[in-house]
Amino acid sequence: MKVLIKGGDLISHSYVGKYDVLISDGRIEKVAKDIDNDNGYREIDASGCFVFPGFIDMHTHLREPGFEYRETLDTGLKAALHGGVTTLACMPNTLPAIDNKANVSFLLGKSKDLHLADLLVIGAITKRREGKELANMGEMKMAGVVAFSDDGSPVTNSHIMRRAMEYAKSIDLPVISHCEVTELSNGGHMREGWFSTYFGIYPIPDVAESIMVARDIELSYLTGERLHIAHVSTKRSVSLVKQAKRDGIPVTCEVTLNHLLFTDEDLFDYDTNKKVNPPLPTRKDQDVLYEAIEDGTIDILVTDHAPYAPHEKEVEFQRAPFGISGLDLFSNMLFEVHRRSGIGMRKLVEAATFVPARLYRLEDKGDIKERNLGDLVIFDPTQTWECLPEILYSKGKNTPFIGKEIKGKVIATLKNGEIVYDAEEGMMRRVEEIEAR
Amino acid sequence: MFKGRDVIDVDCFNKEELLRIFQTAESFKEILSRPIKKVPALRGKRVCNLFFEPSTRTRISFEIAEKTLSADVTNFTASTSSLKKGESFKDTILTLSAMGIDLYVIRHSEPGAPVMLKRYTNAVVINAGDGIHAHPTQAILDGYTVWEKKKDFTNVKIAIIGDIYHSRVARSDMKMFRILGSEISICAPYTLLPKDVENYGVTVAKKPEEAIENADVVMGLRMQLERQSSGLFPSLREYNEMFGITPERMKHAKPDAILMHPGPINRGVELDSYTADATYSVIPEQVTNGVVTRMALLYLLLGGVQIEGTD
Repeated sequence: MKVLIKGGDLISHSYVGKYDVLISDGRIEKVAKDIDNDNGYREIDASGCFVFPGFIDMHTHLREPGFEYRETLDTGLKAALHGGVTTLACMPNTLPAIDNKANVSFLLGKSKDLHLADLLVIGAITKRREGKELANMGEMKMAGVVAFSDDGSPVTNSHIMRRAMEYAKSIDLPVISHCEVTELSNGGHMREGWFSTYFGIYPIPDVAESIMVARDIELSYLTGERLHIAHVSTKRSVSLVKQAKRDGIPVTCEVTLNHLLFTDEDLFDYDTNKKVNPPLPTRKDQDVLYEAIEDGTIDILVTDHAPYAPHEKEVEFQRAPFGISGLDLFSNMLFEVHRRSGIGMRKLVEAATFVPARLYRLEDKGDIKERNLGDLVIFDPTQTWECLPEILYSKGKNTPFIGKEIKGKVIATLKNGEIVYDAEEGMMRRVEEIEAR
Repeated sequence: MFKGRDVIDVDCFNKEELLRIFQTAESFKEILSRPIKKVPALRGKRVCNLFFEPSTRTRISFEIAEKTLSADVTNFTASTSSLKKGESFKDTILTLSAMGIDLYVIRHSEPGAPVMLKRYTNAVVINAGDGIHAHPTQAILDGYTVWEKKKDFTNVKIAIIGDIYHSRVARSDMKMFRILGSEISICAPYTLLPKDVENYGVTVAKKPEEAIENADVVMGLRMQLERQSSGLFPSLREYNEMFGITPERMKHAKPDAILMHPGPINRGVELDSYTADATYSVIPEQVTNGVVTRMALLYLLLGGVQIEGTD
């Protein structure tokens, strides 16, 4: 079964511009101008649309096991495909935490059976994410994890973090650090600045993040371990990462689409759908984040997809949990970042495809080129649609875009050369099913 | 120009509108000295006082204002409500909204609660204090008190001394007195000043004497003991010594300066007992002014019927 995508505007590391893509047996066979369809390939008309490599979102929360009322693998992976994400990594802050091989195998096995997006699993650094004893990292590596992180509960004890990084280095997997000095952020709900003062919301100073960024960079220097800083949100963090890279320390970092689209000023309406940790940046810091994408200080883009049930978010601002649901809107948000920041689409797309594939050694993903997997997104930048809760596949409707008009639309998402999401038909698992209609 | 508007914070009004509120309050003052302290201005209007946080003076002040204007008053306080049974804020509002309330007065420990209330009701909302965010009706009564005494704002210097960080009154006062064109000088240890406080258009003085220098109005703020344990200042004794408003420090103000405080006061902490009882203290008048300014607001927002003897 061959699929030919015709007339699309490719944006990827290897190809940018008008090319046709021929997919055969799940892999890209050929990328070229005007491929003739005289062999009866199934043809997809992508004229007027962008064609991206399937996005790779390295920071999501799928809530399973333990919080299935917020999200399940099924709803989360469908939301991913809806947003154009074909590979995603989930954080271990579940109940129980993903801190042993059984839990890793459970997630990987279950996600494979669903035949939706590919799931990567991030294991915990310490048992139960308590920051005390190392989790069974080696065992989890054998079960298939791609990195370690204690996610929202940073390892506060610097000695434990040092040992964790040394150990992770010995099994050649990176550590992802959520940098937050909780003594400084505790009790706060938004970025400290004029707007936290004006809105009367208890603040979180920017250094609550950068102080731990500095610590972890120093530990990376000490141990030589690959360190990935999760969701940088301040100019100080960017500056520290930039210097560390200059010094040859093996550090990389990510920014969330939320932090590129919203600022502290946007909290004027106390909308809990805009409450996120780290808190939304000041406009000044957001400009620094834009520059850091341009100059490569920031390596990758993620959603930090954090779905919540409506009743958890429909409370007073300071009582609401932190987190924004993002998978369904990945392509839209990325496009919106381009529109607002002026950063080129290729740069943004690479930061969500080619670069994460390189960092996490996903050999045949993250690019549109011959022999790569046929994971592709067809995105029409001209269509607009209203972001109604029922359109989102995620159980988490907690996005600032809810009820708003959105520019651009995912027309189809292909996984291994099969259309797994189609804007008109919805979720579809197999090409055979499409043909049966 | 006022009817149907919400009062989330004082900066929803411009100078002209604030002066109009003061003038309306002035005309209401006479009602409070009548033998029968009641006018039918808001007859048939249903007002609900939603107090999710304990309050005595603000709640009573609103209640008296509402009753004087003949509104039908319902009180909802968190301690006696179903909130204790675990009902959410949203459900409480949805329940009340089904009962035909025309105006809500809301006090809540959480900033933004009045904005949230507005999501679930079409009634008029008056913020009676939300967390450390805002307390617009206290600011308006403070503004009226100054207007009554000074008949001017543009050549008036206001000194605010104390825990500005935790004071929604100070935050609303700073906004309002800047709208009215006054000069504001504030003073507190930096632990009790919110970030970028100068953006209100105020100057930060290092010493209380400096803030009070040539002031027309000196305002003290309540200092709470629990701030000590959160590392914001070493002791009440030291606080009083360094930032307390004493007769000595008041000498730096203009001879006809007035002393204000939103209450309740801590004698011997932010205010020296002699200062609190001195002739320049207008603290008791502020309480009376609280009633008339709230009457004025309720009247203007609900668009009540013409009252005899007023415009």
